[in-house]
Amino acid sequence: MGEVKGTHKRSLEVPGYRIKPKWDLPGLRRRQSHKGKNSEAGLSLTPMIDIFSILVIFLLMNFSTTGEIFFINKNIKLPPAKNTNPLESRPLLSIVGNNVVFEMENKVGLPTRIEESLDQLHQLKLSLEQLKNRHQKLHPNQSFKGDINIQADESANFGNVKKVLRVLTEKGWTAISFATRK
Amino acid sequence: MAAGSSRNLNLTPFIDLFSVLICFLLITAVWNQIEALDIDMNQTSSSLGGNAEEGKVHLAVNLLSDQLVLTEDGAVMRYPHKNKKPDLAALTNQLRQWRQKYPERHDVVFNTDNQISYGSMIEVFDSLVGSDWGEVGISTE
Repeated sequence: MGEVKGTHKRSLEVPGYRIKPKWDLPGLRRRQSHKGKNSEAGLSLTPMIDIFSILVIFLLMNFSTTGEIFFINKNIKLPPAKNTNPLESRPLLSIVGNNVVFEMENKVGLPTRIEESLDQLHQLKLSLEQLKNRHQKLHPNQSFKGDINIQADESANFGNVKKVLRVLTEKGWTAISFATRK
Repeated sequence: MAAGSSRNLNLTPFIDLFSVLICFLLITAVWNQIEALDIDMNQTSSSLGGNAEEGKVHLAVNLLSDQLVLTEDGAVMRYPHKNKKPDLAALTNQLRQWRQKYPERHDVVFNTDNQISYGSMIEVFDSLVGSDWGEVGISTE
């Protein structure tokens, strides 16, 4: 007895166990294909874990235990330099346009900010003197080093920076660090 | 067990941990690495003032608006700017020659024009420090 399929003339067959039907009916084909498919939309975790691992490794490499020593003024783009030393936490003097901004801690340890024009640096001179006197009172056995950080925009006129350097040298602040970006 | 199943490794706490770690590291990441070029103005005063030793050759780098002028006592070497920027290659070369001539010296006086940009000054200063002339005295005149 040969196999007969579809609507052809067929002989009677004893139905038996079948893994799949012999008759190729379109509706049956559709039902069979849906049965085999997993209808849940799965989330592929492998690429997600790959990305997470790479991100974590990158951010760990970038991690700095010293953190930000100071915030760069938004109007300042620091000049680049290669042969630099780590920046330390010191009073910060920013030269922004024709103004000088001096950030320091006052008597009670709260941050204070002084801003004045480069043409008259009276407040700056006063603040520098006060800070120096305070340091000498608190540490009478130590010599005053006069550590200070300066930040200025790369396009700033160096003549303006020289004015500030003159005032700093006059008041005894001689260990100057120019902030740069790596 | 079907091939590829992850019954043995529970990924949920793994992903939780990674998410928290990434959030923390993103918040604490330092994107701008700021460093410093140090200068001691006491050094400047002694180089420029009357404390200069007799017989010691006076080495100076002068940054002008159109050229770099290097002086070694009486000798003057001029290097015009290239594309409006200081010729750092020529400067480095000359500093190397000075290093061979004066192996024990590390001090040099750095004078600039007032119209020079701060960025150019830092560039030249950086070259001086990189060429092992770390004791730079900047003139404030």
